[in-house]
Amino acid sequence: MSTTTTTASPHPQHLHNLLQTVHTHLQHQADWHSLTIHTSPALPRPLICGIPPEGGRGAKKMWVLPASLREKWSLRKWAEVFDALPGVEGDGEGQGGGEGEEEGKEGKKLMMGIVSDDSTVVYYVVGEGIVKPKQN
Amino acid sequence: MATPKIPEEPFPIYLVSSRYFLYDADVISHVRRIHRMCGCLTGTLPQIPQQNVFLGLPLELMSEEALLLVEKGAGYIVDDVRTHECGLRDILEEDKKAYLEDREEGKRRGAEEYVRRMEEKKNVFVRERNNDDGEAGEGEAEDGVEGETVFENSSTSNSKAASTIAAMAANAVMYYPTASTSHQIYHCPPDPSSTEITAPLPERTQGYPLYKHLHENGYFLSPGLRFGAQYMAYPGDPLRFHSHFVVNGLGWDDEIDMRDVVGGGRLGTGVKKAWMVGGEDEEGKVRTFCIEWGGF
Repeated sequence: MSTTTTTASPHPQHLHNLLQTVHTHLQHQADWHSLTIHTSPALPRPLICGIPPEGGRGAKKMWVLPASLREKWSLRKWAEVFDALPGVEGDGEGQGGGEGEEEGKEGKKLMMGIVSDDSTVVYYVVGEGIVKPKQN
Repeated sequence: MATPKIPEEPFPIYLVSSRYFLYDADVISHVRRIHRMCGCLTGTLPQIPQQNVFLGLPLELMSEEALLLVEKGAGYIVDDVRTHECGLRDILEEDKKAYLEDREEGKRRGAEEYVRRMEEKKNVFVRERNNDDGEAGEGEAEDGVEGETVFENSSTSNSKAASTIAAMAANAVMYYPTASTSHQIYHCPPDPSSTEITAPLPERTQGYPLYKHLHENGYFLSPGLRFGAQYMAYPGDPLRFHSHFVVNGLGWDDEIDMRDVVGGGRLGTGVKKAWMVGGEDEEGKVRTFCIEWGGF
C-alpha cells in the first residue's frame, strides 16, 4: 500500500478523483498490491501501477490508466499515454517505478480502468501494436 | 489436380456500379495465394438467389483490396460499362461483319438442328400412333384422324421447316459479347504515357491505411460485419486459421465513445479475439491498439 500523493500535481483535480476511485477499487475489491500512483508532467494523466493478485493476470506489474465512461477517447490519446510510459520510470514520484521498466519494454501494455457514474469500474487491457489475443 | 494457370499481371479488375469484381478463377486463386486477398464470392443461381452458402464466381473485392492491387501494379481497373460501350462503338467494320456473319451462321445451324429434331420426334410419334391404330378397334379411328390434323404429313413439313428458320432468324435477339468474357481488344492495361482518362481509382477509405498495414504484416483481411467491425484479421489463410482481431480503422483524432471501448473489448473477448483500432498518425505512420477484457 505504497500510495504516493503529491501536493503539487501537474494534473487537474478531477483526474485525481477519477484515479482515487480506481485505486480504491483495485486495492479493496480486486486485491491488487504494491499500488503506486504516478504523476508527472510527461504523463497526459496520472497513472496507477500495481500487481494483480495471484491467479489474476499473472504477477507482473501493470500500469492502470483511469478513465471515465463519460469521456471521449481517441487514437491520439492512447498514443500519448503509450509514448509517455517508458519515461515514467525514474522520474515519476511513485515508488517501485524501477521495477516497471521491464514491463515497459516488452510490447507496451496497460490496463484502462473505466469508471461509470455509479462508480462501477471495468478493466480493459490495451496493448500497442499487433498483440495476439490471449485466448487464441 | 491441374495446376492453376498463373495469370499475367496486371490483370483486369472490373468495376460495376461502384463494386469491384474478378471473374477469372485463375486470377482469383492467384490473388489469394500471392496477394493474400480472399474477397467475397458473390455469384449465385438466378433461379434460387436465396441460396447463399456456397456462392460462386464472380468474386467481389473490397475497395481496399482493389486499391492495393492497383497500387502494387498487380491489377488495373476496368470500368465495365464504359469499356463495353467503347468496345461496341470502336469495333472495326470487318470484325463486326465477320462476327455478325458468324452469328447468323450459328443461328441458322441452330434452327436447322431444332427443326430436324422436331421432325424426328414427329416421325417417331406418327409411327407409334400408326402402330397403335393398327392394333386398336374401329372405334379409335377418329382419334387417328385427329392426330393427322395436329401433325401435317411429311410432304408439307419441308416447306414449313424453311419458313420456321426464316421466322426464327428474324426474331432472334442480337447477342453481344460481355466484357467479362471479351478479348483483350476490349481493354488493356492503361498506358502510363497516355493522357486518356482511365477508370477512377478505388476510394481511399479511412480504414485503408490500417488495412494496408495489417496486410503488409501478413494478415488476411475480410469484411468484418459478421463480427460487428470493419474488418476481420486472420493470421493466415482464413481456411486454416481463426481470426485474431476484429478491426476498426479510425482517423487519428476521431472521437471514440468510452462505451465503444467497453463494448468493443467485450465483443472481441467474447469471440476469443481482440478488438483492434488503429489509424494513421500525423507522420503517416499507422499505429494500432488491441483491446481485451481485463478479466475482472
